[in-house]
Amino acid sequence: MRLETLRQGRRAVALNFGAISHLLKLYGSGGPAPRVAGRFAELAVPFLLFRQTEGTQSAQGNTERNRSTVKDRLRKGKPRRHSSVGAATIFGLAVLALVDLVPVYLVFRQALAPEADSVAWPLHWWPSRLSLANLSHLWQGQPLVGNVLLSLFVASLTTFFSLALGVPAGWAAARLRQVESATPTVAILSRVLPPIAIAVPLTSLLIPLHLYNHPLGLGLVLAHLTIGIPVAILLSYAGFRDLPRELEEAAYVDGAGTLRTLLFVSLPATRGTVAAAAILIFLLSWDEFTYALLIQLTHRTLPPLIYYFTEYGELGTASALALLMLLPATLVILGMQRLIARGLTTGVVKG
Amino acid sequence: MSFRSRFRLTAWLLALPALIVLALQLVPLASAFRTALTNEHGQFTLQHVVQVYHDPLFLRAVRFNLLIPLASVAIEAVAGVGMALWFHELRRGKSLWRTVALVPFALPEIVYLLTMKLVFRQHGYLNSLIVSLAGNNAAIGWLSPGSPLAVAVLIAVDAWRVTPLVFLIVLAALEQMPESYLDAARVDGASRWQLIWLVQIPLVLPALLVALAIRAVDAFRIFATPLVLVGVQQVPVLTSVAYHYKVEANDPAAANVAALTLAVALLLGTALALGLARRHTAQGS
Repeated sequence: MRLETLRQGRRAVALNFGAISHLLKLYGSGGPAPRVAGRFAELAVPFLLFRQTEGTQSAQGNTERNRSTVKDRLRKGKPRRHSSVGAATIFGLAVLALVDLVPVYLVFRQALAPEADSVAWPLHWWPSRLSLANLSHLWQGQPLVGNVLLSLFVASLTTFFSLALGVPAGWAAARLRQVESATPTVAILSRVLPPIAIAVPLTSLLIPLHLYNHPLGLGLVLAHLTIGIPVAILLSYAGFRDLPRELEEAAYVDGAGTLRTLLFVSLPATRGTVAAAAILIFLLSWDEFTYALLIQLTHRTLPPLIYYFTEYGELGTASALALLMLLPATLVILGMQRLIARGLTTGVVKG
Repeated sequence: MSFRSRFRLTAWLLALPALIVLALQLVPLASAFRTALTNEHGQFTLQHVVQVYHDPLFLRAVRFNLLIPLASVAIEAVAGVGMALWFHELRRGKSLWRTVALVPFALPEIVYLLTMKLVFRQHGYLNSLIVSLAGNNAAIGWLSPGSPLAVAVLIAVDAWRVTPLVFLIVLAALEQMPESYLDAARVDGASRWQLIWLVQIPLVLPALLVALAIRAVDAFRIFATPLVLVGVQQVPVLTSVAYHYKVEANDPAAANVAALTLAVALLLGTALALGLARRHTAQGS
């Protein structure tokens, strides 16, 4: 038992510090997609850890574990000794749902209710009527569509450059030991440094380059690359490492160079992982607050814009923008199942 | 050139562009040190450091920057393990409830903070509920300036958002544990509490420590939560004070001193923790 504890402990430490990618690789190798997207980067880690334990339990070759699974299966249906699906459980779940879901409902309620509802006290929990007045701020008065487009543009550009720079490095890390040993340092540094410590000096450095408060957010893209590139490296590293070497060797034997092999053999074979990285980086950039607050003083992306409207007490407009912010993650959740299912069926290794 | 050496060369060339990520962090960092430690003539000086370290706002920020993260991580540990033990026992609808539990974590940070603002502000929904139940005088100043209650609310809001992370990692460790361990303990006559304290918690401890390590780094970097909910002056933390110096007081040197204080402390702390973990792992094997 003591030995097992140590083994588990070592495994957990290795899982974490060795490379977060070790968990994330499962994404590429076809664990069922996480149902909840959103704050994806950090979310993905525990979720995939979880999926891993579910998926590999029987594959571990641990007879004891297998036996217990069988026992569990036999036991299903019979009441367990400690099953307590009673009032306490129901009460607990109700509280959980209340605390987690009601605040989200309130954003919808605030965004879709007329301005007059905010004057009432005590507040109504249900809007007196549905109103698009808050949403209409997007195109009326000082239109906010520009901010939405800026957010989209910054996130897209960050995703593109992170992948363009990070995926080749991830491949190199998977194929060359010296590169591999250097990657954790890069990853840990960007994970530990507070964004504010970069953002404050970076704003001063961006001013002479005319990238500070750039109308297209180019300076912000540079800042977001410090978040995006490590994610791209770690994820693609995990994907390429799991790719059988024979696949690439076959291409070399057929006369393809290293670059061609990477572009036309390895990359298509790991496109599920790369797609996951793309989604993740996009959402990270889309949600990012600190850099955006300091670098985009007047040309604001959505998170600092929501902050300003909150500061000025315009919670209706802030809520309307918050609904917009939830859109990409929602689309990801809806699209995820299909994407992953396709990635599974066309996977080279499994094909 | 042999295939092998050409291959190595290509791999290195492909890896190099990614080093821009290091440049994007180290160049600003170097510039931050220069701004923080030189005067207008470019000479070395500690005047900015001395000035900032005597600022009452900064000193309050240091205290809050210790109190809030430590309290928050402690709550996450207890709540995360508690929820994991509870969910482990759930028989039906586990994945649905897991999804519900993840909601605060899945929201973009600013959206989550907006929801909390809607709930906790003076004319927010929580006070509205209290008033409609207990009358007009019962309203509570959850986020009112200078009250310890505001700090408590901040800690709770921060902890609640990331408890799902701890919860999921611990739950994963629990699910991984063979049922036979529990069976063995039951045969030996262990009570429910003994099962939890003597079997389950010791076995998930490594996973819990990992989760808390990940979380602690983020907790010390706390920025948006106190800024959005109560503002810099009410509950300052190092990051928001740096933001205040930079944007509101227009004093980049002071801002860099505050931000670097946190950055250096975190880097040292992480290096120490990694070193300890490595030594511990080496002894274990």
